Parts: sequence; structure tokens; C-alpha cells
Amino acid sequence: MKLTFKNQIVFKSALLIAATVLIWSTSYTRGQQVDKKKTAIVELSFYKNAAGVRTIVANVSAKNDSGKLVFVPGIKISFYTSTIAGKSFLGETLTNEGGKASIHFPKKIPIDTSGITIIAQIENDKVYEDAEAQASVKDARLVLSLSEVDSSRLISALATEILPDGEQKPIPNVEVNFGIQRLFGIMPLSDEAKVTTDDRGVAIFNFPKEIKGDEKGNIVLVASITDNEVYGNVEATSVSKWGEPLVVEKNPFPRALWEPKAPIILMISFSIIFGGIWFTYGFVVYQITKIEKIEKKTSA
Amino acid sequence: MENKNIIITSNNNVTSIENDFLKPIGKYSPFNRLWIGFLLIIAAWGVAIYIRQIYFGLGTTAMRNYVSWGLYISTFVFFIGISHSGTLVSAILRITNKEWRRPITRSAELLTWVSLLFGGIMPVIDMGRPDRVFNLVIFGRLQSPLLWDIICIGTYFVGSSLFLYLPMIPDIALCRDRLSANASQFRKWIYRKFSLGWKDTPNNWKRLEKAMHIMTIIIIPIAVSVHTVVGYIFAMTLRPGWNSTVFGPYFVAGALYSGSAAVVLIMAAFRKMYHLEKYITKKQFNYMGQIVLALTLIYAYFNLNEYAVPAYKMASTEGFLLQDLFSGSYSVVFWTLQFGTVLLPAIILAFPKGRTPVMASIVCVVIVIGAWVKRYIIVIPTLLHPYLPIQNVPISWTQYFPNWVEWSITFGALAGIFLVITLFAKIFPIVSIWEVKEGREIEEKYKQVDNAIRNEKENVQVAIS
Repeated sequence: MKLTFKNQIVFKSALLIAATVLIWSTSYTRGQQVDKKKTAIVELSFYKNAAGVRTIVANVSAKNDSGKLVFVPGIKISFYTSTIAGKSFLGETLTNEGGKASIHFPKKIPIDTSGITIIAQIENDKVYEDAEAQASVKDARLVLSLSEVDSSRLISALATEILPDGEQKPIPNVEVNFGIQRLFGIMPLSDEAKVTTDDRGVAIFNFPKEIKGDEKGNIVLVASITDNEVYGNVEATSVSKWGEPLVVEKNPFPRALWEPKAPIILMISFSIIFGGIWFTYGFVVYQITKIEKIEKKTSA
Repeated sequence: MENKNIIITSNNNVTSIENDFLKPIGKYSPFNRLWIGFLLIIAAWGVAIYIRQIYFGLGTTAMRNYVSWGLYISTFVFFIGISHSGTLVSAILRITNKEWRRPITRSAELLTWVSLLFGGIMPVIDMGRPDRVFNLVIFGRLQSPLLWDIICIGTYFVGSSLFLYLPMIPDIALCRDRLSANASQFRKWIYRKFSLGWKDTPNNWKRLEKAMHIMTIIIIPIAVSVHTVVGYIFAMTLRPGWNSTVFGPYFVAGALYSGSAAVVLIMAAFRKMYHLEKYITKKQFNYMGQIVLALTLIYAYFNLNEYAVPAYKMASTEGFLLQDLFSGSYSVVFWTLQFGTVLLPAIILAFPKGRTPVMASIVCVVIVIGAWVKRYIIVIPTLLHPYLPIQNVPISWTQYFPNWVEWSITFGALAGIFLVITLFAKIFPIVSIWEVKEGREIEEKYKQVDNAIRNEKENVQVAIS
């Protein structure tokens, strides 16, 4: 069908109005979306380090505008424990740049045989919907002992559950990781440095040779139970001299622009140039002090 | 050696020259008092705000993680640049024995000394903990351009102090002999101590001229080294825009360009205030205008190298910086500087009418302000375009404009420069009296020789006829 001129104007006007309404409605919907709260994911972990300090850590992440899951910094997380007696508040803190919020779990709170439930919550946040994560943990302990049998060096880790009366019960069938402390983290002692505890709660690992220590051969051995559903993360450490002493290579450039000591040639050049200048200044000053001496003689 | 003060042909002439230059010393007109009061208020305000900055920390300024060298370091580079003036005018013109230099050398040397004094203070102001400045000397690494800078500036400052002081000794002695009667105790003490018992004897002149000759030669390479090393502070940092091999000579050229323009301004100011039209004539403005023109063209050549070469390649990060300068947020300032403070002054100064006292002064005001803004353009945009973006900082930290704290302290320092120059000129002669007298003496001798030749020619013609 061929449109007349008048109909063409009406048709174009209708198209223009439709496009305007479409753009407006899209932007309006976007505006609406801004008002809608986002959903955040909270994950909870329980840590007990070698010194027995217990920490609860909440990881918070959410999808950004492009749908990618990113960490959420600066969001307030409230921590609680839940027992038969009820829910009690432990504390609250903001997530850091990595989306982590952590608080120490007080020593004075006892953990009974059924364990304790810990809760991390996002509450009444302006941007994110309320969310929570729960975990039930029991108190556990790892003890490291080192022994040498013939030419073998053995690391034994004893995993026990601490009962409310202070008694310890061996934990069988739990995986223990063996590693050593390095500058930026824990290095596994081998690709298969994971040993499951036996009925006595003991995991034994044969320490490999050729592990570098410090200049005296010192190393920090670390045994850990990681992300266990019942006990969370438990760690034990022990210092030993089983490492190979590190031989520090002699610096091939003891004096360089990037080293603490300046190159000799730089020091010599600098000294000659500035020594020369300051000597000249000294000579000039000597000349003008002579002016006064001459006058003093003349006056005398 | 001849006694310099007694061989001038006319004693009236000597007295007239001395009177002209000694007259303003120790006398404060209402305008002088108002001007000094005004400068004191601004300088005191700057000091007060600096104390506040020390107390509350550098967080009170607009500087953050991206821009940690803001207005203070830009001003430091500018002041050090201005300090090249004395070296250029005084040392180079002394060596080349240019007679027209005589009335302007002292003001140029003074400008060098004062701008170095305040230029050296600016990096300390930029430090959050100024009490740690001595750590740089005690624990400084000889490999660091920052230590080179401290040593070079310190050496140049001592050299400039000697270079300013040496030709002043005979004039201070003149002040001691002629002005002590009506001078305050403080001025009497200064004249007595700093004249070093000068008595105008041939031996004294011999010592002084020897010392001056040595300083004139040695101060030139020191001055060049200072601004080269200031350039190295930037060029030896791996940053887009600073990663350049011509930065040393580029900074020296920029310093000479702004410093020579500043000399024209101080010449014009003292000519007007102290009525020195008889001594600082159109000739000085014409010659200085030609020097500024030559240095402007050299500076333009370095600008071409500095921007055209990387712009031809437009390598990634360097390209972002250049885009920002050529067509981005700094483009208006950048092109105004290139055309308004480099090209336009060169065109105006190329014509004799552009080198009259008034025109040359106007052009040099533009050049000096442009040089200051140019230092800002060298420092700030580069800091805003690092090779690796600084993470986890608020978006506002990726932009910079100095806040009132920085302006207050910077203008306080500027007021300090004007204040020291003003007070100096009220204690000491702002023109080297003995050098002007020596110039007149040489002029007289030339006239006598001319007259003798003319008479001889006339006698010969009479004899022939």
C-alpha cells in the first residue's frame, strides 16, 4: 500500500511518539531497578589458629551491573551465636575491600557436644536485601609432634575434639594438610600432603628431603584441617630444623644504582665535582677575608 | 692598580651617581609602608596556614594518592627557574663584557638569590613531616636524584650568595661612609660588618676582582646543573610525559626563558619606583628583549621536541596523557600557553616597538605567569596518568586542583620574595654603584679618545689645506 503525504506525516509522528515512549519507559524501568535492593551472598567460615584464637569470617559477594560476581566492601555484618537458650549478639563489623568481615569468637563462650551455631547477617542495608549464613561448628584441636625413625622424619598430627568438660576425643577420618610457612602463605609439603586421621585421630606424614629453610635450616611446619563441615578450620604449627640451610648467594652487584651502596665511580665523580666547587668557594672566601686583614694591617 | 673611585673626570658626576642610588635607602614613603604592610599580611597568613598544615597534616591540602606533588612542587620548579636570571644576565654578560649590563646586574643577582631561597623551601612545605628533611641528608642515597637536587641547590645557593655579595662590598663600604650618620644601629652594624673594612685600595680591588672573576665562571655550570637535576627528578621517574631524555636541557631552557623575563620585570619595577630612567634606559630593555626573544625561540624548539616526538608515536599511556593535553581537560590551558606565552611573545619581541620598556614589561609578565602555569602542566597531568592505576581510591582523588591552603601558602612564599627584595633595596643600593661609575669612566675615556682623533683629523685637514 502506498502512503499519501498526509499519512506519511501521521506514520512518522506515530513512530516518533512510540520511540519516545519506549526510551522513557526503559529509563523509567532502570530507575525502578535502582530502587530495588540487590541480593548479596554471605558465606561463613570458622578459624582456630595455632595459638587457639578463634575467628569467624563472613565473605560477602554480589553480582555487579554486568552480572559478574564481585566482593562487596563496606557492608555491615552482624554476628550471632544460636543455642537452645536463644540467639546472642557477638558483634558487628564492616567488610573490607575483599568483601571480608571478621570478628574474634570469645573464649568465654562454651561449645557443647552438639556444637554451636554461628550466624552472619546483613540487616537493614540500604542497597542489599537482608541475608544470612549459618554454620554449626564443634571445637577441635590439632597437636603436632615430630620424630625421626631411622632416616625418616615423621610429622604426626593428633586431631581431637574438645568436650565441654575439657576432655579430648580423637577425631577419626578427618583430612589433615601438611605444609610449611613461607613469606606469602603456606606451601604444601608435596602434591599429596593430605593425610586422613586413623581411629586414634592421628595423621602421619613423611617429611620430604630438600626443603629449604632459613640460613640455619629452620622451618615452620603447619598442619591444618581446612573447611571441615563440623570443625571449620583448625591449625597447628611447630618450628623445627629439618630444612636445608639456605646458602645466600653473594650479590654480584654489591654497589649499584639499585643497591643501598652507591657505585664507587659515582661517589668519586660526585666527590671530585662538588669537592672542586666547594674548594673554589673556600678560596673565594679566603680572598675576601684577606681584604679585612689588609685593612687591619694598614690601620695598625 | 688604579683607584677606581678617583679617576672619574667629573666629581659632580660621581656625586650625582652616588646620590641617585643612595637616596632611596632607608627612606620609606607612605606607598612603601603600605606595600610592605600588604606583603607582611600575606606572608604572615601563609606562615599561619603552613603551621595549620603541619598540625593537621597534608590531608588539609587537595593532594591525595594520585597527585602528591601539587602546586608546591610546580612552584618550586618555577622559583628555581626564575633563579637562573642572575646567572644569565650577570655572569654571562660580565664574561662577554657587555657594558649595558652594569645597572641591572645587582637586581638580577638578587632575584636569583631570593627565588632560590624560597624555591628551596617549597619541597619542605610539600613534606608532611618537614622535621624529617634532615633524614634525606643523613640517610640519603647518593643514587637518588632527590639527594642530587638538595646538594645542587644548596651549592648553588651558597654560590649565588657569594656572587651577590662580592660586588656589593665596595657599595656597602660607600653606605658605611656616607649613610651611617643617619642610619639606625642595625643598618650601621650591617654596613660595618659586611663592608669587611673595605678602603678602596688597589690591593682590595685586586682581591675582589680575582674572587669575582672566579665566581663569574664557576656559577654558570652550577646554575645549569641545578635545573638539569630538577629536570632529572621528573625524568628519572618512570611516568608518562616525564620519561624523556631531553628533560634536563628542556628545564634549563625553560628556566632561562622565565628567568630572563623576570629580570626585565625587576628592571622595570625599580626603574619606575626609584626613578632610574637615566641609568636603566631603553637600551637595556631592547637588549634584554632580544635575549628573551632568543630564549623564547629556544624554549619553543624544546617544546616541539617534548610534545611532537611522542605525539607522532602516540604510545598507549603516553597517548592518553597527550590526548588530555591536546584535546582533553587541559587542552585550553595547554594551547593558551603555547600560543599565548610562547608564540605571541616571540612575535611581539621580534619588533623593536615590542621591546620598549612598557611593551617588554607587559610581554614579560605574560611569560612569567605562563612559565608558572607551564610547570603546573608538566607536574599535574602526568601524576593523574600513572602507568598503573592506583586502586581502591575515591574517584575524586583522580582529579586535582589546589585548595585554599595551598594557594595561601604559595602566595605567602611569593609575598616573601617581594618582601625580601623590597627590604633589601631599602638597606643596600639596588644598582651596583661602582660598576655604573666604572662604566661612565670607560664612556668618558672613549669620548676623550674620539675627541682626540677628531681633533687630530681636523688638524691634518687644516695642515693639508
